[in-house]
Amino acid sequence: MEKKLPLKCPSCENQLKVKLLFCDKCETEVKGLYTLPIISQVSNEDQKFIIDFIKSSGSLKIMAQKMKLSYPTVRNILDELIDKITILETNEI
Amino acid sequence: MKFNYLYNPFFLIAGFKSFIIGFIGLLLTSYLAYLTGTHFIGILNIDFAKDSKFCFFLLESSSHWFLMSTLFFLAGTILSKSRIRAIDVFGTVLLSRLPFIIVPLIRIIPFFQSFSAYSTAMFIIIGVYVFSLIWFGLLVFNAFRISCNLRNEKLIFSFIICLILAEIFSKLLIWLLT
Repeated sequence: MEKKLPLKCPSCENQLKVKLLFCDKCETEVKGLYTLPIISQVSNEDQKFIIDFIKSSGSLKIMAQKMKLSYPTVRNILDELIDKITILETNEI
Repeated sequence: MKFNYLYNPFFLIAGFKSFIIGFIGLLLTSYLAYLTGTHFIGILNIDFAKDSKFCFFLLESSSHWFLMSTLFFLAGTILSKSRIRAIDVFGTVLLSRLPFIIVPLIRIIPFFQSFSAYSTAMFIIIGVYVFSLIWFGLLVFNAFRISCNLRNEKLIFSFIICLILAEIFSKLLIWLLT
């Protein structure tokens, strides 16, 4: 089963941050308080879209062919994602 | 992603592909309308008379499509944050007109070719026309929503305004040409 990175606190719904990093080879632990990168804060589906978009050299036409969707549908998904990222960036500031 | 192909095929088809399918549909609808004498004046008026040439029937259908698409494109350009493409707007609106083929298609059947007022044939034709009008409404709403990427109030109000304006302008155009 693929584990899903929790983004929101199950108790208060606040954005979660990273407090502990762990090396599973030498078992070193790094403690601190780090904000998750914006890309990690969007859903898995959105992250997959971003990766596929980069792999398609930023071409919506290629994306539409790959996803078997129409061009405006893919453009709308991208614009929605831009809105999400803009909100996340605003919240970070 | 769940969607219904019958009232929203635009998740899958848009742009040039929808334009070609829609254009073939428009030619077929106009030809059948010419054969059966079915006039589409705007979208809310339907009239029956074999009184014009084929090009006039083609003009009736294409003028409404062109006006509506132009208005949608203008509304999308002004209101949408997305970079919209004219081919998506014109193509999807053209494809949305496919339900209008049903009435002239039915009128090929001899029973529906000539009928008197308040006859069974007339009521069936009206029923079929209302059905195709509702189907067209759903299709064209989704065409506008997807091709222009508008939502909520912007979508509803601009859609209604464009619909009314297209109806008025197309009627005016037909009236000026006749």
